[in-house]
Amino acid sequence: MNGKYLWLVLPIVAGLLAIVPVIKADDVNVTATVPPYISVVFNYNSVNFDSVPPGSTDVQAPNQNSGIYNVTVTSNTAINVLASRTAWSPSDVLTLKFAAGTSVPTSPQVTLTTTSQLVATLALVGQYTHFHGYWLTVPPAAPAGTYSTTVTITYQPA
Amino acid sequence: MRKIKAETKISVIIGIALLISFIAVSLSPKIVKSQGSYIEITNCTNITQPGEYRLIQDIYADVNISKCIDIQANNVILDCQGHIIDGKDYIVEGRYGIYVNGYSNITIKNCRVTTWRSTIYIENSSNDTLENIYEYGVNGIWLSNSNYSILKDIQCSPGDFGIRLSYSNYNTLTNVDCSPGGAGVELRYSFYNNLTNVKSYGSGYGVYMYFSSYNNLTNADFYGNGIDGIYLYGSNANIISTVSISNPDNYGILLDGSNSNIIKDSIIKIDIPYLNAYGISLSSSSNNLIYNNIFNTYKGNAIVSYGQNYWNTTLQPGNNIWNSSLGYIGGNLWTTPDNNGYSDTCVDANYDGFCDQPYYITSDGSNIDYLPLAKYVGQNIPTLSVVFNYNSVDFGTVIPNTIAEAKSINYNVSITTNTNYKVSVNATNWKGAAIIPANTLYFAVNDTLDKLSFATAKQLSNEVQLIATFPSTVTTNYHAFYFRVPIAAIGTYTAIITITYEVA
Repeated sequence: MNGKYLWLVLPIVAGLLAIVPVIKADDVNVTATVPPYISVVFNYNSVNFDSVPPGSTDVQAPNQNSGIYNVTVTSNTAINVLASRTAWSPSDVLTLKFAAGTSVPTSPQVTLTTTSQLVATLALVGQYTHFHGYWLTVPPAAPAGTYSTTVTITYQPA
Repeated sequence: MRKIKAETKISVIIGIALLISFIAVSLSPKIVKSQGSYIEITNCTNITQPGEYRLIQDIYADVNISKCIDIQANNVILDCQGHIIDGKDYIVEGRYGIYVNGYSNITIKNCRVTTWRSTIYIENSSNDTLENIYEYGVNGIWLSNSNYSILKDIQCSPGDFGIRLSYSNYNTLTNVDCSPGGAGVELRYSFYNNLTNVKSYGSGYGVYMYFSSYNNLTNADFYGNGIDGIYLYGSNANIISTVSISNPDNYGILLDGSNSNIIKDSIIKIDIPYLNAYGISLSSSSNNLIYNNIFNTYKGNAIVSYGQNYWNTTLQPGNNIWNSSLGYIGGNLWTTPDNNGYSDTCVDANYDGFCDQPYYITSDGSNIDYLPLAKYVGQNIPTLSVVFNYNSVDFGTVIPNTIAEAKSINYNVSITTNTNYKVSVNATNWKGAAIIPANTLYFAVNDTLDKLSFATAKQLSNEVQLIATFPSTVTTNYHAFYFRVPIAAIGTYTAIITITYEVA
């Protein structure tokens, strides 16, 4: 290199040295997988109709209008609600009807049987309260006694 | 007839004899003889006629003499020819080695005036010249109400002051070396004087200006002054340049109630650690312009108590006092003997020889050096190298309405830097079955993994926000991510978090 041009090179080198990275930014790819999720918390575990005279039809469970039979649902997906009951003991002669909704039900929707059946579909996501209602019919010929059954309510993705 | 004539002749002769006798008492032995164009003198005398007078021997004046050489005429040249005019006593007030009052165009040169209360006193005079003078007395050379005079090649020894100008204007002092107990050169109510090549070692002040304005001080050397190198009180519009001040006891330069002065091209150095001295102090002083100086002190380079001043000139061609190769001047060099002043630590990333950021002398913004000099061209340029040791984060399967954590020792970065650095982060919204806002993401960073938690994490957004700042000694950062999963979320979501490292 011709020596008389060396002074031109030095400032250029200095300029290059000045370009020092003082900022470093990196992108981090973040992933998360959220599966269908249903959380149901039952806020009751029994229903007691007390004494019901034979020949009664669609007797509403006590205090039902106050909404005491409810569950808290947390979900990110639509839900099908299925319900069934076991046979009444000691004799399967009683009729139990059921209803469910996001407000307190006032009339029965389905008659529960020992076969699971769809009783409601919930399109809501998030957290909400789902109210249940029970109605009992006692035929006139039903023998006196204490009857019991177990109701199974299943919340599952629609 | 003849007898009568004879008596008359005798009478005339007697009369002449008496007259000669009278003149001899008046002048002899002070003026020895006239040598054509000059008159030789040998002792204290009153000079009452213009002309040149040469002292041809040392004078040791009787202590009863109050004014040894009393010049009572205009246009007098007194050339001591290196001889001494000694007063034998410096205690008695009112004794002067050389005294002038009311006469002008006086030249006093080559004199050694010693052991007087006042060595040379000139009052109500003008256009005088004092040249090659050595004085040793309580009061040095004092010009009072005297103007347009030249003092050059002056040496002073201990006393109250070396040279004092009071009510004296337009005088020129050159080559002054005065180290008295008081001020080397003292100006009181004096204006438009020029002081050049002034040296004062160990005096109380190098130069002291009291209500004195429009004076110039150039090329001065002050060392070890017992009070201040330069002190201005009530003095305005003076120009002080190319002054070197070292190790005064209090201040290199003190401006008290003094405005619109210029201080430039000077060096103020206080490199003795035990000295409790500042470089420059401005007290109730405004509009002073201080630029192209070197301040180099332990205690503090500049302090200001009340007043706005200017600490740099515009960037312009000139002889840079620190680095002449720059070819430009601006502000001052602010350094310390242990090299940790602002000019030592500032960044000069653009290689112009000036700090990239202003130097705030006072925090209120009234005293700022906008062009402080950098100690070295291109100094302290921050470097920051960051290596991300990961580039993705997988929360895995998460549960709605919970806070998911992605925290791993693998989520770390390696940092190499020479400066403090800061970490800023922003995030995109989640993309998936639905848009989830970025503020569901949280980010934590620290130098160890165990310090990371949701409690210390910061909520993210689309906007860049500062998360943390670290010193250069922290060379590894660990990251943790948190996701507040919305209740309604479902499916697979992706987002991008941008993590930015930059010098603090």
